[in-house]
Amino acid sequence: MSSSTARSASGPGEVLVAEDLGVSIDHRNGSSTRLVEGLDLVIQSGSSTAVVGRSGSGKTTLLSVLGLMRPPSAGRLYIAGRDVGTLRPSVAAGLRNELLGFVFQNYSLVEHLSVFENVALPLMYGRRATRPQVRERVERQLTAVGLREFGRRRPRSLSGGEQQRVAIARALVRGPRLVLADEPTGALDTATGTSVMKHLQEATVEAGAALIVVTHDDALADSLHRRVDLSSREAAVAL
Amino acid sequence: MTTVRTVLIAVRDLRASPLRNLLTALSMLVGVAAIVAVSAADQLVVSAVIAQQEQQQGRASTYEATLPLGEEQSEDALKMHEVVRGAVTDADASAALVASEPVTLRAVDGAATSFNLIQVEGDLQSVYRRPVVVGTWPRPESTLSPAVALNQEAADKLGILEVPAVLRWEVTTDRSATVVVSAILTDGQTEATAYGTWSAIAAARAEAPPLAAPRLLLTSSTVSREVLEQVVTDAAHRVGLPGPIELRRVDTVAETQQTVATARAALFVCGIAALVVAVLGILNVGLATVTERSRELVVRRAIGARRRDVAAQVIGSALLVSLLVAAVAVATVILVVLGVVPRLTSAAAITDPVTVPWPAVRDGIAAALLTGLAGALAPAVSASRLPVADALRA
Repeated sequence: MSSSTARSASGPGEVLVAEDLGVSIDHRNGSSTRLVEGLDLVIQSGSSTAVVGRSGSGKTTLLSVLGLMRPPSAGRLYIAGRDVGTLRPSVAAGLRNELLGFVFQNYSLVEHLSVFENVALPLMYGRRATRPQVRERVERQLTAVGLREFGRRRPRSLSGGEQQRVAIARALVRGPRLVLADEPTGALDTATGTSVMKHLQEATVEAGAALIVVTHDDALADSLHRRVDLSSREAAVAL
Repeated sequence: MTTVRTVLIAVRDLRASPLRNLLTALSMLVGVAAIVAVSAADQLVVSAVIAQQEQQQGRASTYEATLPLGEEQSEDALKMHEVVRGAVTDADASAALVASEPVTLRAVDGAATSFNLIQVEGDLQSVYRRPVVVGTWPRPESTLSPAVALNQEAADKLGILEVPAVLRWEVTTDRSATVVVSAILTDGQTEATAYGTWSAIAAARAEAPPLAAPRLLLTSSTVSREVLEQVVTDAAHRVGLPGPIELRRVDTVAETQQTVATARAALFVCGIAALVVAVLGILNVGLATVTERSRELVVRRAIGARRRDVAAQVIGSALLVSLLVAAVAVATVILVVLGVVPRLTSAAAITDPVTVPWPAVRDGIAAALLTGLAGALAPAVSASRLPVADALRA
């Protein structure tokens, strides 16, 4: 069972709350580098947030903290009202499966699985879904991203844009509360990137989830509800 | 993660690198096949080769003494046998007195044919593995004609297809007797042979038959040769024969078992060596595969797989390959045992039906699974320790 505890101050519609959050990376020689300090952030369902900053500013590391892949170095973090600051790895894995969806920069689809199987991958872990439920959910997501007929194909037979849409379908198939995207258009040309982002935003809103996108692209950041700028160590949150 | 999910993931994993899986399976197959072969050969030797030797030379620990008696001393030979039997009955040993003479037999309306008649007194079946295939022999004493048993070769010569059948025995040049074939037995001999008890032969001849060079056979797995020699010597003294009488071992079961044990040990060592090499190969390929597929594995972790799920995926794939290898090895052995062995062995020689060597099946599956597990453990641990945050590194 989860070792997380419910946050008494959790407000309605709040998907993620960070209080005085610090993010640092530890080095093998025992030293550490602080990347983010004192970040206060509230993410509402249906909202979209861009995380921007220069290279090496800690955007991806922050995303890994928000994605429960590493613990924060300071402060408190709540997701869906649960204190998720310090979790056992197996509990974190369960919460990632249940509450979060991920879209990676280079799609990260499993090459030897079909499109259908890739989208169904999150359903292989965590809460058990019956075979009809799996089929229904996967087909719904593939339909939403316009790839219903592509279920039997292998990822390598798809274009970059199509692969990223498959990744979006995979991120949403469990019905997550929060979708975390790391440079989702980084490997795509501008037109395809715009189309994929449109899909991602629409699908996320339709799923009632919140979206956090790490990006270098100012235009993309501007198209989202707000941005978190990590250019200085003390992150600035702007609407 | 449920077992069903683990199996499903493992099955899908086979598609990741089919050629590599095939090569891994082949490297494992050599060792597993060796282990299966050792186990199956062991069973075959016991059920076929040793059975054949027990049929022809005598059961394990069979000793023979040629009695220094003339043909006219048949009564002494029988008395000595009776004394020996009485002495060894309580010692878990068996004794039989055998002698042979040429006879001429013919089927009704058939031509006269020469046979070797084995005269038997005592428990022949305890000394040799010569099972009766059809009929009953020895037959209880009755008022019917004396009964003999034939081996398959003799039955074929006389055209006897079923028992009982009536034969004429040319006892002397001017007299013949009627005998009944009450059984056909398997003795593994190529020479036409008839078997008769001393009393049946005496009845047919209407006199005590001569016992030419009678041999006393003793079988015991618990009594030593020295003790048996003493028993036989004492019996000889009882009938006025000079002693001591030496016993010589006639069966070859112990030598065969020793040869089999040596061959088995050599094959087993080869099999284990091949499996160790296979384990190292699987380990090497497994670690390389984990490195190669680290991106996929951390993505799985990111979307909800726990460390043990990833470890189960790696181990499950290896075990699945192992099971396929075991299936191929076992299928090959079953094919050889059921399809080839009966063709290579004389029907008269094999007394036990050839069956599926289940211990070999068990050993093959165990060897394959242990090899797969040993080779997959380190890669599984390595895979489970991949840092999940690497999923966000391009």
